[in-house]
Amino acid sequence: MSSADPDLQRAAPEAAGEARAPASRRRHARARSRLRGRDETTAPSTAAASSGALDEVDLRLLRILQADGRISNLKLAAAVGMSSASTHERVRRLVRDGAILGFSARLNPNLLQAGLLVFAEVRLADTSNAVNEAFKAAVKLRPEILECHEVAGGFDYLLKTRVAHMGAYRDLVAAVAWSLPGVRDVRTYAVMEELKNTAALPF
Amino acid sequence: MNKTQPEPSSVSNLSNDKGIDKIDARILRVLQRDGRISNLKLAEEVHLSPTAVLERVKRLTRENFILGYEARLNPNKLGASMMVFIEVLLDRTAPDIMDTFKAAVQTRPEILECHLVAGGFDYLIKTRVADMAAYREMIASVIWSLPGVRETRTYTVMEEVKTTNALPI
Repeated sequence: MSSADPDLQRAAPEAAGEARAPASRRRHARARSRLRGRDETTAPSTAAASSGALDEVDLRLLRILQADGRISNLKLAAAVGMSSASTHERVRRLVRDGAILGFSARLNPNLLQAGLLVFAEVRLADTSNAVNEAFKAAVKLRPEILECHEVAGGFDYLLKTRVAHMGAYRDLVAAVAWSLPGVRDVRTYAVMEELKNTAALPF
Repeated sequence: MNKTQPEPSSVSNLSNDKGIDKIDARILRVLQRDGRISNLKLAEEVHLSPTAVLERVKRLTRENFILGYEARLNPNKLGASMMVFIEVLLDRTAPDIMDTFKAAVQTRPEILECHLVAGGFDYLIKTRVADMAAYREMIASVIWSLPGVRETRTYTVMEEVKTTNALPI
């Protein structure tokens, strides 16, 4: 913690000059208090406390890396006005503390046989543990299923899938859903237009 | 189609239709997993010279297979730990209403995705927010205020069983 202090001081004049700094700090503080209050189930409660270590420079680094994950350390250092050594150290800390989960290339689904985006709402016949676990295990095996969420509402799971064409989607549903005993009903929603699609978090 | 790719899936066998070979596919797979890997390490992983790898990555970028690179951030540490989906039904799908809708969803960073779908409703929206209050504020100011919105259904995510952007290649 104390090793980060020189960086902080060097970056302080810039941070103070940023009009949006206080707002995002407030938002962050809100998130932190909420984390402490609610997420007691996530094992290390110290993780929530250490997330409080994110300062304005960290947030700026995260914003830049979210937009350009392959930026050179030199450019990154220049962008936040720190030495490249301390920038490197900060990024490593952000990865170690779990603020950065990883880095990925964003690939073009239209050129890689994954141009068709299809959502599916799945209802289970009974929500016993065994049925739920079997379904989740089946979902994790299939790379065409990008997301699967257990939701509160009219159905049990929302799936986001990317496939080459409808035939591939049908094969997927057959393998994941119809081969399982507990699935009552699958509703399919093919996407005609992606108005917006990003993974970038707002902060 | 006589390529022997490691994936058994029928989908990935088609990938050479699109002008990428086995090595390209391997490069894409590695970069999808580790977007910040050094060129040297990438070269080692795919058993090519660093110059040849650099040239391939440049080509894959130029030809739009690679759209960019991003850090994957932890929503729980950035005030965005609640994920909510919204289904939106319009009164009628007139072009002016759809254009207004399209413009509105671009204005809010909490809306990560918005898709026009074929089926029982018109739009599916994916949002990440700090809490229910933030969600309410967002849906009230962005969605309910729009003309032509007949109904919205909210689905709060209780558990993210799986979340990735990685394409199957």
